[in-house]
Amino acid sequence: MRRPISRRTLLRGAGGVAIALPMLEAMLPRRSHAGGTADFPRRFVVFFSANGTIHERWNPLGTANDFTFVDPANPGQLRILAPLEPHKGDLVVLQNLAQQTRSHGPGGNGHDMGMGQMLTANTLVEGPSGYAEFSHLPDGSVAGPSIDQAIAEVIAGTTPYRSLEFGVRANLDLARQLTSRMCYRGPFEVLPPENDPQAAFDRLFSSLDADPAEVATLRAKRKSVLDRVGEDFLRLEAKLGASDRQKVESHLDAIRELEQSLSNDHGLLDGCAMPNVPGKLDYNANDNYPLVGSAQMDLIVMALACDLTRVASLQWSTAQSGVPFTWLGHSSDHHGMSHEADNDATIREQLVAVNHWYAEQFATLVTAMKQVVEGDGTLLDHSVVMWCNEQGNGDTHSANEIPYVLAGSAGGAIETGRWIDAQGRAHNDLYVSLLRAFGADVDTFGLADVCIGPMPEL
Amino acid sequence: MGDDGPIAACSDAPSPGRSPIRRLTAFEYDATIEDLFGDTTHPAAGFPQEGGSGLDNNAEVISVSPLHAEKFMQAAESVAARATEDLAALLPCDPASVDDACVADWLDEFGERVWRRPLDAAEHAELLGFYQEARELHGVTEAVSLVLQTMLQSPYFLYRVEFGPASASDGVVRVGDWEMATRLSYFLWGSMPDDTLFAAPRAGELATTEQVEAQARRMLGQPRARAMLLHFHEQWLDYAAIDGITKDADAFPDYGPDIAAAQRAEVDAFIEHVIWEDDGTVTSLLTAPYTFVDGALAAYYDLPAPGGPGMQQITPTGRELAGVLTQGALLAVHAKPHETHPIARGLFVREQLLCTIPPPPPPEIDLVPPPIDPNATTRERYEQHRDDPACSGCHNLMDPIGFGLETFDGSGRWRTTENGLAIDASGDLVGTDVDGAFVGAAELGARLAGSQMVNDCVATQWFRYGYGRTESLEQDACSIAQLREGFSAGGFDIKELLVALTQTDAFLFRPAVEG
Repeated sequence: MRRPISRRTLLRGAGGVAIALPMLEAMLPRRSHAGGTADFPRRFVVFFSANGTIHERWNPLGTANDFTFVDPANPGQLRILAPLEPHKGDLVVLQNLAQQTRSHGPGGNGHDMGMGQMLTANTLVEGPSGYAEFSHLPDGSVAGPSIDQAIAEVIAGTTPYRSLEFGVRANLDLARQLTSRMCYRGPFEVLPPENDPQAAFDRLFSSLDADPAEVATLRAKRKSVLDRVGEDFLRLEAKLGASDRQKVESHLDAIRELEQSLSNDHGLLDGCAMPNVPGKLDYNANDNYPLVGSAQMDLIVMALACDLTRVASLQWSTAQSGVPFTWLGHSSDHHGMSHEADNDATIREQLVAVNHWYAEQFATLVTAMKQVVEGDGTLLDHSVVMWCNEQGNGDTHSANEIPYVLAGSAGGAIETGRWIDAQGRAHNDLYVSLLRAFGADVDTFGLADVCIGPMPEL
Repeated sequence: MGDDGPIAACSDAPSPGRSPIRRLTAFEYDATIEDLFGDTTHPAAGFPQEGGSGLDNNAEVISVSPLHAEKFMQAAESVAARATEDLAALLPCDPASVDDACVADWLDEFGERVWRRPLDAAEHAELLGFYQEARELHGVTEAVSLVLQTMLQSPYFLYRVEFGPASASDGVVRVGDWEMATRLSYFLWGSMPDDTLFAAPRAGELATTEQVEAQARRMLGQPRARAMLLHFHEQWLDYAAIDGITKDADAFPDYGPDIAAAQRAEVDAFIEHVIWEDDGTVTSLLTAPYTFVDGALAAYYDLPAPGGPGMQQITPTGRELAGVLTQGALLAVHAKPHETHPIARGLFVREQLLCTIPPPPPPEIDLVPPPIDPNATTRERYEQHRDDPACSGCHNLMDPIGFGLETFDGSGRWRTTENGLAIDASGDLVGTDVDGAFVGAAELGARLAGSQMVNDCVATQWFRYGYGRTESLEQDACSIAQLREGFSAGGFDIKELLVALTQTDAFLFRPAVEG
């Protein structure tokens, strides 16, 4: 059970300090909201699962504004989005978006390109070695920032964390970094996810109970150390050649951001509560996959509800995910099955079950965000949660029928309760629409060549 | 070395290639903290995973995210807290009477070890000033802790900063002596220099190629080299995923975490034995007829129980072993949860051992693997799939290599039948310098061991690891030629290759830092 922290103060990024002392009411600046939702922050969440979908079991039935995820003629059939039936009024179901970027730039492997381009909507770039044997870019990267970072640029404000990246067995493939990472500040500036919920909890929440005096001292010490370290970085930077300087500069930027998070004092929002302590668990064990995911979602919801960040992502495994869904009784792995579904009815059903399971997780996240009351609305109302995939069809590595589900309206900016057939439009344009919904005045995102403009339906 | 006449690819002017700034990997961070403080808590265990090109130390793809910077901060805080628990052990004076002179001495001695070079006067003064301010506010112990935190988050600790000698101007410079000590120690040990290695730059004894070689040979005899070798091999041979691997309980009811852990111990013991006890050659790595088992693994593999506790060497009869090719960990990782994966095994051989990367499947084609058929072997199913001309061009490069390993099931266990049908382990090598048909793992291993492509590939993989980057065939032509010659002259002993890696233009020189 979550416990309220209305009588606690909040220390950001102070893992390890846990000295409980009573707090003065005066030290608890809670932002007052007169009941409206206009002044609640806007949030954006990415929810990724891999290997495409089975379209005829994913597609809604009905019309654009009146649809269902359950087949009335065949109610016993497992349909992928059925767990979202209670939420359909809060959703935009988007089918047939295309990664048109796949026909541009270097690379060629469907999982490399699919994952690298999924959130960046941009080309890949070769690494410094210029090494691109066939399609693989072993030291390559992406050409631009991912959409979550572009949105963070608009909405992050002075929150302690500009964005938070969470993973569930989102392990790095050493040989194919591009398949296993999705969030980027820019080329070669990857944002790796935290796969360990307890570490994430410690980072974000463990110090909620700390003594304010201790907190102030710790912050002062950290600031003095980071200041001193920053001077070393600055001096070194000036002496380095261009490419090394870039590396060191970006490290210094990260330190400055950390310092900033130590100085940012701001109040808690009404919905803020202590999330469950995840506890030490073997977060890399396959059987713990559901448990870790649930813990990470709990942390995401409260990180948003407490306004520690306004942008978060949850990466379930990686592109080409090889997770075997043992808890559903499957013997093969997700990626293996995604290539076997077309000629094996049993495996096809299992693949539907895998995607249905992810829909259940998405529904859990959406439900939890709805339970956080913010003024007249909920956390979900003030957010967009985007479920995305690096493929359309896992078998063919199709780039042309990529399934997206959006939940939440970004405070009324997006009309929900709709099913949209994007008819092959570049996924860039979805991101243009999202950026606009969050208040950015843009006409393109990522590779401008494939952009038409914001999607008229959004 | 170097006395065998000029190497054609090398001109008079050294060509070091790119020399990107290197940052300590998580592996190196932990080892360094252990060497500095005797702290074995592995503070880097929770750092974000990083790397590229198949290696965790590719300097050109790694970057520091805000999460990573925070992890560096937390690690520095916890290490410093532990290190200052016993000030007497840390400081060169009585902790009851610590004065600034004591701290100043400590900064000189310890600073040199932490930053792997002497502190200059300005750095020394700044750190001492920082200490004095902190002592006023927080007392001696905490002030020492804060100085340590500062040093451990400094770029001079986290990065391997190199400028070469100050006088350099001509575009390429020899790596400075202190910088060379650091290059050697992180390459051969994955950690900081020891006292002997620190003494060398102080005495000006790392200035010549011969002095570098002598240090390298000494260093290979130290325990740290063993840990580094294993760390490289688990990446090169791509078996790290054995830790925590999941196999299908129906297909492999006797397989569990204990067997996976034993297979990890098996492959580690095997590689250590080949490199340090056996002749250390690529041939042994690919053909050795022995492995290592404990009681549980022997039972799982259906081998006689070992004669002693722990991992024991065994040369089984009645089955073919072929070095790393038949190591349980590699076979289990390059497999599906419920069966073998001949394509993955073939791809592994091509990418990791031959350094040839087959093209990916063309976009938008149906990649249907053969359906499960209880009346056929895995091989028979994949052979049908290879009949499609759209696939066979590339799959002929991979699948027939994997077929040769079909006498080992998806969990790395020897077998002679599948679904009641006899295993056909005949295979084929195509597009290599050792092309042709073969039967079984032993023939495959012997064939690969005789391949110049494989030897060159091993040199290339080590190049990437040693220099933290992918090779450039133009700029690095000389270094690669130097490596191959050193490897060949050393009888393709991996240890000689490691020495050769310290004798190239890429290791001894670097581009001058442009102003």
